[in-house]
Amino acid sequence: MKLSIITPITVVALAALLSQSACDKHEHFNHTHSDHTHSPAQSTAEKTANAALAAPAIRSEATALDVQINNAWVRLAPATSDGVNTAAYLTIKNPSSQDLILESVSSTAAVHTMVHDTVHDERGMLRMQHLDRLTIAANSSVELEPQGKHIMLMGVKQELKAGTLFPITLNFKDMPAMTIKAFVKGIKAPEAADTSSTKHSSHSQNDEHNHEHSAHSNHHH
Amino acid sequence: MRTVLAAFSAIISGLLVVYWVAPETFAPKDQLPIIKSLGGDFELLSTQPVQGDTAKLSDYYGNVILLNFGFTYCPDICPAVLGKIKVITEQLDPKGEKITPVFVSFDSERDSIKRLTEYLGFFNPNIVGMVAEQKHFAKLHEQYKLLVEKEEVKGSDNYNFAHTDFIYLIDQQGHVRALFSFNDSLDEIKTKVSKLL
Repeated sequence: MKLSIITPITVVALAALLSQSACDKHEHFNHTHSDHTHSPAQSTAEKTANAALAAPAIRSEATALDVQINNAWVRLAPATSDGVNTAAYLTIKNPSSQDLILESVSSTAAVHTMVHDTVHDERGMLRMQHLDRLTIAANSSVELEPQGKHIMLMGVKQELKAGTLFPITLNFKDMPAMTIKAFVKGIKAPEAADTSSTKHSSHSQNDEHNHEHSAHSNHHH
Repeated sequence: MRTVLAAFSAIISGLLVVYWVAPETFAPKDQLPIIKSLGGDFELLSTQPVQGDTAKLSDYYGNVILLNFGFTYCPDICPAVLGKIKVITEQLDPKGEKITPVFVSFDSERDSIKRLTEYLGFFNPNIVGMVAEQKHFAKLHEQYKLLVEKEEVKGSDNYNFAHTDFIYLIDQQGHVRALFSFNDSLDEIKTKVSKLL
C-alpha cells in the first residue's frame, strides 16, 4: 500500500523562465545569473502570471518553464556524535512541454549529496542506486519519497532540529542553480501517516518561514 | 416459505459481508502461523541490559520482539523502518512492557555500542541495539535469510550496504510469526502485532 503524504506544502520554489523563442531561450539559459531574488513565492507566482499574460499569444514552441518544488523535507536524524547521514525528499513538478533534467544536487550543509533510488533486487535486497540524472518528463512530476528516489545527504554539517530549514541546491540542465530550503521534520511524518498525530510543529512554522523560501525568478521579454 | 428463504439468504449474505470486511472476527486470536523456516537465537554485543556486554535474543523472550537489521549511517531505509517501529511500540505498548524492539547493526566497523545507543535512543530508548560482525552473517542468513552487501558510494570514500530490510515479528516463545517488508503499512503491522499481545 502506498503511503500518502499528508503534510502541507512546506516549500514552494518557483523558477520561472520565460522567453519568446527557442533561440532567445538558449541565450537566456547560457548566461549565468547572479541576481537571484529571494522574494515570497506568492509574489513570484504573480510575476510569472503577469509575464505569461504579457507574452505573445502565439507560442508554438514550449518556452515557458515553471519548475515547482513542493513538499521538500529532510528526515530528522539522531544527533550522533560521529557523523550523521540522512535524506531529503521533495516533489519536482514540470508543467512545461519540455523534459526537465536534474543533473546534480548539492548542499552547503552536507559533505556529500547525490540522488539515489532505493530499488529491490531479485534477491529481496534493498539497494541504493546512484542516479546520474533524473528526467522529469514534460507535464509531469517526480516524487522523491522515503524508500524510493531520494536525495542522500552524507555527513550532515548542521544541527538537525525539527522545524529548521536545510538548504539544497538543484542543478537542472540549461538552468541556473536553484536553491531551496527544506524543512527538517520528525520521524512521525509522513510514513507514520496518522492524521491525528502528525500535526507536527513545522506546520505552524510554514507561514512564519515563508519569507525564507528562496524563489528564483527571471523574466525575458 | 419464500419469505423464510429470502430472510435466510439475507442473513447468509450479511455474514459473508461481515467476514469479508472483518475477517479477524472469525479467526482465532492466535491465527498467525509459525514461520518454521525462520528464526533462532543469537548472542551479540549489545546496548542492553549492560552496555557493551553480550546479550542473547532469547533474553527477551517473554515479550513480543520486533527484530530488524540495519546500520546507523543508512540514510533512507533503516530510519524509515525504525520510525515505524517507534510508532508501533508507542501506540500498542506505551508503557514499554510487552514489546521489545531489537535492532541488529551489520556495520561493526562504524557502529560502536556507544553510537548505537545514541542513535536508537532517538527513536525509542527501549530498542535493544546489537552489533553483528562479518563472522555472524552466515548464521544470521541461515536463521533469518539476512543478506548484506557492502557497496562503495560513488564519488566518495564512504560505503553503504545493500541489505534485506524485513521486520520480524517474534512471539513470546521465540517463534517468528510474521515478516513485514517496506511496503507493509503501519496498520497492517499493528494488526498483526496486536494478535500476539
